[in-house]
Amino acid sequence: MQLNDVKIYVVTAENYDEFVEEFTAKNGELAYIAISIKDYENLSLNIAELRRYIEQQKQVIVYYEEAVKPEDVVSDASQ
Amino acid sequence: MFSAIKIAMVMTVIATAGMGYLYVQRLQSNLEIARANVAKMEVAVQISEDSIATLQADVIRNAELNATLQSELQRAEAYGDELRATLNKHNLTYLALQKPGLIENRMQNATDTLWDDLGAITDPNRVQQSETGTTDTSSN
Repeated sequence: MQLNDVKIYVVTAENYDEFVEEFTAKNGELAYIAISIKDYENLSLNIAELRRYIEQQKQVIVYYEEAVKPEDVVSDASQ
Repeated sequence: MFSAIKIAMVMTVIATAGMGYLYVQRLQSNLEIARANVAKMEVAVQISEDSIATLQADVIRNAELNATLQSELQRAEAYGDELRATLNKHNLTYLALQKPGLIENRMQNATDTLWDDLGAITDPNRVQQSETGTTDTSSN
């Protein structure tokens, strides 16, 4: 799985003008999707859950691969 | 009369000897069958013992595999636990208001690392390796 980069901006009232300038220079248009800190945390937790699920499924696959491996292969590997 | 008794005695001896011979023959035959049965039983016992040994080895192996799986499943929880702890520990809203540039960099680095980690754990060539958890306390 190859994932694309995502640029994150932390914007407050104080750095908003700076953000608008930098963002417009980079993207051409001033159109963006904003997300609150709480929703960012939720998004992070959701991704962590996905990651946990992938990792656990992977371990279940490894478990079944080991469980059905012929005994001679297992004993060879343990030597 | 005397010779008739002698003949009868000889006949009796011959008959007894013949019956004895037949009895011994039957005993030997039964003994051969019993030996063959014992040999078959020994083979059956050996097969049973081998099966029990195989089953016991399988039970031990399955227990080990189960223990490893449980441990790996728990290890997979580490990243989420770390993240929850980090989010609970820090007030991101406060930090973002105080140091937006620093938080932006931290978030960006954590996000980049996360994408790399996700790429690594879904790499089919590294299925048997675990990359769960991070050492970065600013987990995304």
